[in-house]
Amino acid sequence: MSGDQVRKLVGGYATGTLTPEERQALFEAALEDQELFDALAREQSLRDLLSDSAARAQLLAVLGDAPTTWRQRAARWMWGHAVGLAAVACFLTVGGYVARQAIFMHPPESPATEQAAAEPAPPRRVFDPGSVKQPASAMPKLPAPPVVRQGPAVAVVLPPSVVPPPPPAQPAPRQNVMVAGSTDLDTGSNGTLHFEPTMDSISEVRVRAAIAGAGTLTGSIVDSSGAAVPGAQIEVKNLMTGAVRNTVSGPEGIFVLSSLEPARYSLTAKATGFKTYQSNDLAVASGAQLSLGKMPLALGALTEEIAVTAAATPVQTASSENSKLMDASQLADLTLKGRDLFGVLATMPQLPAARPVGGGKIDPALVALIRGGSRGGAAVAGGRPPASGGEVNVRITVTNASADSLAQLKKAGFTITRQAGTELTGRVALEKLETLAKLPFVVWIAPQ
Amino acid sequence: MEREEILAKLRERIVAFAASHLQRDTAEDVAQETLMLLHEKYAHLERAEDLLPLSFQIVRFKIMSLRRKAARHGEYNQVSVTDIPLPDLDSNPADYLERKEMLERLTAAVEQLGERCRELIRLKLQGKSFAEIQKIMGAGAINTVYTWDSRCRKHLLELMGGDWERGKR
Repeated sequence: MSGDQVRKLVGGYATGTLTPEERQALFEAALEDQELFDALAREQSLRDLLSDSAARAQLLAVLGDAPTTWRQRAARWMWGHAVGLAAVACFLTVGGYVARQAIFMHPPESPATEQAAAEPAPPRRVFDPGSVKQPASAMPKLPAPPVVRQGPAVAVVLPPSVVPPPPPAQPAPRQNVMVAGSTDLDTGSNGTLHFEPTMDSISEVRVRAAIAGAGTLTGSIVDSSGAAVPGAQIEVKNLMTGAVRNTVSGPEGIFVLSSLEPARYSLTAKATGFKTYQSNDLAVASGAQLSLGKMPLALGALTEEIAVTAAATPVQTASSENSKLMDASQLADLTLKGRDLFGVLATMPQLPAARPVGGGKIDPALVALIRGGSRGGAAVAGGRPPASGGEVNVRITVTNASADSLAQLKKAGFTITRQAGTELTGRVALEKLETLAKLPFVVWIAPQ
Repeated sequence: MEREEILAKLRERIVAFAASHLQRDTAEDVAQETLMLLHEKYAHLERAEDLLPLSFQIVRFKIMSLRRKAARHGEYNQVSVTDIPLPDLDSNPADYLERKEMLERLTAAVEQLGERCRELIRLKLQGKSFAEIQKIMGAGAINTVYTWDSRCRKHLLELMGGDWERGKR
């Protein structure tokens, strides 16, 4: 493929017309040719547009269903003119016959006839879609194909397949019902359309339904100075069904509500600090893209709003467990400091006060050992040697180290190894510590 | 052609193209970010016919994004690669309105074309290849169809003011 040929392929890029070979040739050439590269890059916007099937359909609707080949087009042109010529011949024949009948029935010297002949012909009525008084609902009942009427006696049915192409200089208007060409039309008394060919032309009547589809509402929310209002809440309500659609204006204040079924809608736009904008009775037709333009929001009264973000802790009914979390700062701020970790629990709300172990006569380190031992031996007394064989070496202070007291201590499980006044040193099983603490003469039990 | 060779040439082309729309420094940034995106997300693509269309798309959206930012802030700013999403034509109302306006201009321009161009475009939009169009329209050689299409495109572009998107700037 020559370089000149390759450059002509640019037009096929946007429409996706190129074959793999053509694509390869085009893009490899574009890598070498900056002008071709630029042309292709500029085609990208068109390609993006045409990748949308709705846009393609709209363009195809504009392009219409033209004949496919030159031969077919020529055949259709000939056939269209043949029908025209036949119609002209019929008109002349019938007209001549009627004229002869008129001359025969009414002598030429009749002044009434002369007056009638001298009067100008009534102006041709040209079809104007806006002047048709039939209700919209009656339009689909139009007979298809339309009837071509020639004089009082000739009726030619013109099927759509023999319609000649429209003249390029007169593009068909894009409306729901389109009539192309210079056709004279008359709406009959029964609501039907009649196609009356004139002496000089036979044109086409093309009645084409627009692509039925959902409508779209667009607009731009601005403030009183014309600046965009982003984040405005837009709500449209179908007045027939009550269905509601919502959207939010974009950073440039623009909003788009697509896929709206044809109906009448009310629209409300709200933004913080502005008064509510309301527009009632917006008619969205089938396939219509209704632009509401700039919608100014007036400044509203300032209102204060208090948002409560913290929520109350709900009452737990699923479990009877009562748990609390104490963080490090709470521990640091605690005025009551001590070595009994579990004593802290007494400060927690909604918890039963912890009963002091051993009536408060046992050193917290030993209390921790007792609790740790009862929970599977977890060592919670930091730095203290773990009890060996469940026994601990303790020092007991008593009020009276009499023989009776010593006997009671021994009976409670305390093995005395040394005595120094009222301080007794010895070993005792962990589980016996509380029993020892209950003895009235015991003042204090501490680890040795 | 190897991928590295294609990307090297592509960078040169993108810089030159973007420089016709933006300042030179910004154009080089656009090219660099496009190539980074091709490198990071599309490393599996190796052919020119795959890489070029993708780069056209990325470059177009980068330029559009830069223009919008400039319109908003009144100055040109660099845009992070991650700030530029791959095209999602329905997501942005501004995109929607631009496409709508372009489609209206295109529709009006197409209506002014001659019969042959209208038919050629219609067949292209129907998905026909040039070879099929040659048969349907009864052209003697495929080069004739290429020539017709090239002229029609040129005429259509003139009717739209020399640019598909918003007329001559």
